[in-house]
Amino acid sequence: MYSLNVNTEFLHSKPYGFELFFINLERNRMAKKKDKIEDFQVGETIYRTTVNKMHKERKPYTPPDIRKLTAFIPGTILDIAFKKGDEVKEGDIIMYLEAMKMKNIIKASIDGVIKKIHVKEGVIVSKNQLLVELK
Amino acid sequence: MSLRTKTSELRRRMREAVQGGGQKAIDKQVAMGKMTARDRIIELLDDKSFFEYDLFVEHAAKDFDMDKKYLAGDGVVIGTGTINGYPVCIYAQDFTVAGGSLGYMHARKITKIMDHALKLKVPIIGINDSGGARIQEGVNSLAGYGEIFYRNTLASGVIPQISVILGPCAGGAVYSPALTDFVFVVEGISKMFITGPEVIKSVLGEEISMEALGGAKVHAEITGNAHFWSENELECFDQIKELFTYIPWNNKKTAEKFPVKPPKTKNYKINKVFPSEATEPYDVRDIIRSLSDNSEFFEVQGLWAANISIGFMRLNGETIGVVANQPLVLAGVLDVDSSDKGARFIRYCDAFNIPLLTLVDLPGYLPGVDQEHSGVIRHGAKLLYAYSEATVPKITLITRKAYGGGYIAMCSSHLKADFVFAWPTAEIAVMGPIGAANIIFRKEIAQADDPEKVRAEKVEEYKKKYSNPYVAAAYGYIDAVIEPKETRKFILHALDISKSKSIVLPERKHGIPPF
Repeated sequence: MYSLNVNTEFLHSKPYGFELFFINLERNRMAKKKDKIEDFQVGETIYRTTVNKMHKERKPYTPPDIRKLTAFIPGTILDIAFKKGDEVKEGDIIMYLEAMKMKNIIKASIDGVIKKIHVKEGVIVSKNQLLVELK
Repeated sequence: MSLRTKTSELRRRMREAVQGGGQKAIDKQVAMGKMTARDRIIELLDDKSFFEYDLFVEHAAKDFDMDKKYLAGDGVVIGTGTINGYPVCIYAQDFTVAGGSLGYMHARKITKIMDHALKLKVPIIGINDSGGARIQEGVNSLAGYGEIFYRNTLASGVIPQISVILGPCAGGAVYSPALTDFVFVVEGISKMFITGPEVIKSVLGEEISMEALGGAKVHAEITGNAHFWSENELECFDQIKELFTYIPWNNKKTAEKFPVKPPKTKNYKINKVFPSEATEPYDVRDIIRSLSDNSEFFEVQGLWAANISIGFMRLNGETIGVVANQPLVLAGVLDVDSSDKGARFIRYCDAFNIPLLTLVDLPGYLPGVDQEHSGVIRHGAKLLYAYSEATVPKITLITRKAYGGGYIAMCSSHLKADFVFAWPTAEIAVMGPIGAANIIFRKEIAQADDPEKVRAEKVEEYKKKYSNPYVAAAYGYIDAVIEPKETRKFILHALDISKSKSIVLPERKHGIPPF
């Protein structure tokens, strides 16, 4: 193995203007003492603690509605085959959702009528966006 | 030619090679608040300890007119040196040379120094600052990444592996840091993601900046990919140097012993910082500091899943890994992220012969559909697995509540903690008093003329009988109920007496942890 000791003095000059500083370990703390203490229930007991942003932004659970078809992946809408008021049978292909170069099929989940189509061909939809409502 | 002219020829070549991508590229790098690869190494390592190898390596690409291009050192600097006198192997990608892109020879240099680290049993530090794969080299750059990942995996648990993200680290490149032990990020400089904002926009139509997608704060607070966050590169290097004081060079050694310093008990008085009422918050790090040498606690992943606090401290000069529920955040509950965080740290300590101290004060697992659906069963199991599997000395201190599954998971005597201590304030029970009373005395409460009064009475009755350490102590699940002020004494003795602990596990290739 070839080796050499790079002599920094003859090869380098340091163009950096950093100032002296001290490690601030406080900065690597999430909860600071000034943070707001609030009520937080676990089981049937209420504790006093801080509640972080991620926890506050938790979405409450809603049971899925099979009459509402949503995008399970972000992508582009193609070939909408039905319009409002059309009758559909369970399994009918209502439209395609192109994502990651793959055409995904959006099928009717029940026998019924199209109540509303919320998207147009060619639009880009995000994950969980409502596409079609059936009734 | 004389030796003198040959030497000056060598110096000329060296000068050319260390210029990297040239002054223009260096100026650009500096303007971004970044140092050049070689300067980073020199800044991080002990003074004049850096020896560089493979300075004259050139790239091997032929296609796309690449054969006409000179890339100094093929965009990466490798070498050996010392940190606090400890030997280390190190590499740093040089963004000024073709964007630090990874080609075949670039990867060969990295794998060479990694092989060295593994052979010499010394830590490996990787400074990442690269635009990604060198597209012109095609499958050869993919091969390069693969070779690096393989070595990361082989070295895991054998030598410490440190990743420092000082620039972009995108696409396949992110998996090398992900396989290493500790990842350092710097505000405004580190960027890590699998697919960048442009791809996300063109494929999915979602618009997001690089910083918001995979900046330093994102990985330190949201994803948990990063273990240490700092404001600039020099602060980052100081954090690395501090980490190196706590860890051994390899898995056959123990961390260096430091001079014994008592805790600063004046600043951390337990009766001042510790509320005995189980529902009140306090900062568990104050309890840790009341026990540790010089009241120092080097916290790891302090910004992510802060409901559990992990890190290193010293007791009588020796490194101890601490895992502590943090009542200050979400009452210290266990959830998906905090289980992951705790479990990985336990495995790290076990791999590197660092004894474990567990401070227990938690109401249990976090209830909620989102937790259940994100796999709190699978993630929570990691904690049980990691504690059960660990063979280093394991000492547990139950300060207040230890309810239900949380009690078992936090290194209970059932997972073979060597010593379990409890303060008189400890409450070891199958669940909190209100919930327990509601179930056990359901009939009495329902049939009472004044159910609320009876409920309150029954809760009190349950509290008196069971919300204490003595029921568990009566079964021998607690080794000693101790006065808080005696804690350090008990722990020090427990550590001393565990020095030659040895456990023989069933023979197997490896376990199957609930990843």
